[in-house]
Amino acid sequence: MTNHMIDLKNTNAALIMGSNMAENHPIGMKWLMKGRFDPKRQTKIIHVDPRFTRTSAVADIYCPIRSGTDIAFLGGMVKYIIDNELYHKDYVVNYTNAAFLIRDDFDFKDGLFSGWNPEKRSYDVSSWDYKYDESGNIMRDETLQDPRCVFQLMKKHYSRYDIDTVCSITGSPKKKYEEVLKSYCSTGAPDKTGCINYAMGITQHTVGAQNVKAFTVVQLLLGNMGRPGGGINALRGENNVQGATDMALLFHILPGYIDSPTASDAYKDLISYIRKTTPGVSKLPFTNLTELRALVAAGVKYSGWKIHTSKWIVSLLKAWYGDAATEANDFGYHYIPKRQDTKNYSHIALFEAMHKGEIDGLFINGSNPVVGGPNANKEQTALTKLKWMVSIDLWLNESAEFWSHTAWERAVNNDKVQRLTPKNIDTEVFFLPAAAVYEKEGTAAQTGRWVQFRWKGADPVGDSKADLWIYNELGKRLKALYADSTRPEDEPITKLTWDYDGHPGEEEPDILKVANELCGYTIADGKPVEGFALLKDDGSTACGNWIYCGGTTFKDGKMVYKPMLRKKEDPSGLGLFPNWGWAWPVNRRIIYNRCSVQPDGVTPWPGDEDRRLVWWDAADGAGAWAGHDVPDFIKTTGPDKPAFKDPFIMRPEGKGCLFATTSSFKDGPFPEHYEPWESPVAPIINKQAINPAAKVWEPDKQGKAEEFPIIATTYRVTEHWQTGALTRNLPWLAELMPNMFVELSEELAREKGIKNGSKVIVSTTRGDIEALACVTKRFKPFKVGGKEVHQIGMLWQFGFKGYATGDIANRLTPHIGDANTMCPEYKAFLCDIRRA
Amino acid sequence: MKVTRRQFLKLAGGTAASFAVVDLGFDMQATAAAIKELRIKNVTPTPTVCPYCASGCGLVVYSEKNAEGKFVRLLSVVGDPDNPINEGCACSKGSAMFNLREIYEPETGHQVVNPKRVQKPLYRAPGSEKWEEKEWDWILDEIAQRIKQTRDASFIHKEKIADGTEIIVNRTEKIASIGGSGLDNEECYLLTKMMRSLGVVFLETQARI
Amino acid sequence: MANMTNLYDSSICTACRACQVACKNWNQLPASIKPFKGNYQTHEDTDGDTYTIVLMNEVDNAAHGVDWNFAKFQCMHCFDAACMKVCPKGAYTKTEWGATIHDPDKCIGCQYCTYACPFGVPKHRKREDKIAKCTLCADRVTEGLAPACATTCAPGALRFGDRDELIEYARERVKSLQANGYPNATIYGINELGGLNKLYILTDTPDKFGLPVNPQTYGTINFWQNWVQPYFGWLIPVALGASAVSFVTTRLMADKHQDHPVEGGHE
Repeated sequence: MTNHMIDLKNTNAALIMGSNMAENHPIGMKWLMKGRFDPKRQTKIIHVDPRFTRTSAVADIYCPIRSGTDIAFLGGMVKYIIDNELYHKDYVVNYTNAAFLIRDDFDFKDGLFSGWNPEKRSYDVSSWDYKYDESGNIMRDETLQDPRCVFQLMKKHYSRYDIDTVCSITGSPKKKYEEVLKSYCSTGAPDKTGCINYAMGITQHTVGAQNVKAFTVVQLLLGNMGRPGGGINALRGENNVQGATDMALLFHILPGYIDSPTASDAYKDLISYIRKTTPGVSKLPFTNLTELRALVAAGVKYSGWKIHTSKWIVSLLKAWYGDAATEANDFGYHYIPKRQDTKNYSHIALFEAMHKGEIDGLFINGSNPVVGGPNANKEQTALTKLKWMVSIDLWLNESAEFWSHTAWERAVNNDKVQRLTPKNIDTEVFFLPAAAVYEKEGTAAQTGRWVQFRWKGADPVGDSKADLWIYNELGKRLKALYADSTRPEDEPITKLTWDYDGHPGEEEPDILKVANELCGYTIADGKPVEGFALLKDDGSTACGNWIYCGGTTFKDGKMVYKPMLRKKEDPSGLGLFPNWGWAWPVNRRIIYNRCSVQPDGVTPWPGDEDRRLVWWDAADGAGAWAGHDVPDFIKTTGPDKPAFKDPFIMRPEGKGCLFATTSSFKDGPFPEHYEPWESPVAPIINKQAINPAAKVWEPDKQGKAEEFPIIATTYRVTEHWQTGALTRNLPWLAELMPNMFVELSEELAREKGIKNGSKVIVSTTRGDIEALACVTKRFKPFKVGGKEVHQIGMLWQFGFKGYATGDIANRLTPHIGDANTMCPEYKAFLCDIRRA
Repeated sequence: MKVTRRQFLKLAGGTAASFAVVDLGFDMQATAAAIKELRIKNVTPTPTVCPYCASGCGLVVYSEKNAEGKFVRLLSVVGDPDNPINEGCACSKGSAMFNLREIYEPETGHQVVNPKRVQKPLYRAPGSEKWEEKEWDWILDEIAQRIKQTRDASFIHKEKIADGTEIIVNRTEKIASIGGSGLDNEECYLLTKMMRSLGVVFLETQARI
Repeated sequence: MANMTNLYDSSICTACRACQVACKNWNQLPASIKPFKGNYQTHEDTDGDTYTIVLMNEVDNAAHGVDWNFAKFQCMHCFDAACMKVCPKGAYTKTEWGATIHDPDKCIGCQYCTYACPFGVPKHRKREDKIAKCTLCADRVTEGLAPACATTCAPGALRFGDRDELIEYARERVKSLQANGYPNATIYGINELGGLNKLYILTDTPDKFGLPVNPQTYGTINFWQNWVQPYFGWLIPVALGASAVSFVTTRLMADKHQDHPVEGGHE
């Protein structure tokens, strides 16, 4: 979330799209309801979803949409905003790149952007860039009239997305669609804000990243970013998925969202790495950090806050390798693994490799791919190719017992689906029982980036242990195994800092030692670094994750871990609660908050006095930024500086991007609608069958509409969580949703002779499942491209373990992912359904 | 780090106060006999955060402790009235947190540890149909050995890049790690640090899927 | 003493069923797992270990397409409580703020109250051979806490407080709903059965939520309370068989659909 949960009470309109918020983020409804009953806000709740859910039940407007057509829906919204001049003009001109001119060789035709290479199925992105004048400045036209400015190019791009075309793609009733447009786009008025709340219904598509990008375009046009009640709010689904991402449990990044290096020239040593990852320095003359520091001090054009990347990577290396990290050895840069440059290591790729027998050992840390992974039949089979597997969980979930007899039972005999028995599975499995959340202590970063401490309220059950204890013990054992090695390839382990034991006699590791390293300390005295602006690239500071820097402080002779703060004051009344826990970065509660004030830095947006978050205070010495929130701005950047009106400080050009330049996206600078990989209709708005840049892993597994005419999607219910391991094992939740079911319309049920509550079989090219039918008025057939198409939906939260059991929906889903993120397309695929 | 009762009260601020949402101001002798005593009375709650969705709702744990302050029994887990995100509310999942550790048996109504919780490390041998209970020392040593064997056998120290020069790459593609989004930050941090230092590049979490 | 009660607002409820779990958590009730029958509601009725459920009904609506109507269902704590009248052992009492409390120590498990209740709420708990039902969390309320269900409700669909004040609030809310696309919005519980100590804001008529439009008690109940119970309490073991027949007969003759909640199905 760019904003946060409580901030939902400040909005005039909430567009909930690709999210079933009432069910999956129930507390969000508390704050939307506060807004609804606040006479100042009168929040309108708008729900756009293929199926009428418990969110729709309390929404002011519900509009159906066929799965996988969000860009068409939003593209039409962009056109509506522009055609009716509903955009927030001052905001758009000053805070976005609308006025920037784009290179003359940028073009779009037949669904393809310029630079397309059909052999490689990828784009040369060099034409997706700004025009620069002779002195290296980006050219712009603040009247927004130049045909090469972003605004005009965008207007042209979305001119095809008229309401009738959009509705023929999305299947939305025209009247409802118009209601949504009218209601939500009214937040373009300067005294109004609107927020977009989304979840996996948006991201789990071959166009997932572009779906989010479409939100960006809408929100920037309406002037809704960086303001209370605004924002693009990713409602994250696991209690610390934000933290796990921050800590870079992802192949492509290191902690704090900096690149993980590849085996290539661009990352071959530390200076190359810095040159590659720091905006604006690629062509500058420097061969060491001292020279770079001098250049940075003199000022680097179009670099943004990422100009400090060298400090983040060096401090990270110091945290990990301590004294062994020196300027002479590139601070141990080479100890970090370099992945193959063009190889993908994401979830689908990982399981494809495992299925080919390329992986020997696997750690599953509180995860359940046999239920939650796409193409689960294949992923289950892949586990049998491992030599060993470690599963850490509270329960024996379906993945921990993938080898059992039950795991290979199937509702339908299908030659294409492999069936094994324990006897022919040679994988050794180690199961480590973990303590539950309140049987241990630690912090979690919630969806609004608030980091809160959880204290221990009960002892772990039996011999179960906190994961921190498990990793600490394992780390110590590994260090011991390699202790005598002098081989250079073992240095990443022998030189690794690993000192987390508690005081003598205490079995648990000292969590504050971990916190201190994570948030950063000064090498000289071991005391906390009070904020990332103080990190250095000379080896004098260590910090495991720069965005967490400032999460610790030193007070009254002791370290204070700020996530433990529990002070309840809210001086602004906007729900910021600055001393409740701690938010990254630097306790900032709403990011891009410079946008909450007019370009002059002082005046609130007209009629919106109470939603101003920060302001320029000329009276504070030479002038400084101040406010209710921590300004998302360099504190001393005043009206005399060119960057004074550049609120997006992480961007090189400082503006919100309606047009995403160069390598931001692999599949285009503007979102364009493409059909899902499996779609029942031919392309309507362009000539491309699917997102051209999406990688196809299994071409032979693409279901065709002739055989599988029905659209399927997967989702969750409020009573279960993710793969169900943490809910199907709880009797109170098992009783609320005891069995696996599939939802279908009354119309489809009639056509197929399916009775409510009866057993049905759902099939795709990947497999079959059995489930109970839930025949409902809440699903209706869609009218798409002139023909009627049916959509069904099912829970992906069931499996064969626990108190509530049922077939695994992901045995049906495909191995194909988003072109940028490789997030699997769980949300739109083709199937057939019949009576069991 | 241990939080003493005194520290907690300071941290928890107005927990007790914000509980008093209704002031009835009357005495009800007539029905008192039929009304159970409030079992969380005089028990200090411990704050935690819900492990389900990422909204970050606060919960408080009520536990019975003995005279030495040692945990005896779980009493209840409910929404944290002090947490500004949820102000004491909890959805069906959050409200079921007691079951994460303990349940009431349908046959007897008795409070018992959730029988689905695993209480000992387990090992499944190749080709086996069953689990064997193991001790922590044994299982952690075995895992460390497996990691070392696999890593050492598959480790790529140096590699030629496109221009023909050889650089240090320090990776193994034979070990993978997934999950972690249910862990605490500190745990994720140790995991990312350990895995990367082993050379693991197949490193993924639920954020991807 | 003013009546204290819950006001449930169907226009805010998201049917997350936290109330159902919070009730079990507070009252230390085991799960009662029953198979899915084609409706999210799962539990067709309250039972000996389930004091509250959320009714879920899908209704066609010309203006909205479809309405998914939710209504929390539990003991209504009727002012004129039938359960109290028929209980041969005097196990039921009323608190001065309106909760109907059942004392398991006095209960003999005869289930007269189950048959007598216009909502069929009190249920038999087999393992103890006792009746069990919602207490309006009298133990919490006595200590100054709101009931567990109202405390946990995230969207704020349940409010606990002074009944008269809640009625005043509900009237305003219903007016606003009527003016904003819900012409049939109404309050339930003010006058039903002479007044319920549970109040509902409904966006449509009660039948669209599975609630009885005009709940009734049976004539025989008054007879039992006024004549049989005071004088012939010692006859209970003998009377049991015969009276049960009488109650069952009465029940069968009544229009079942009118007197008992219609459970969710939508085939």
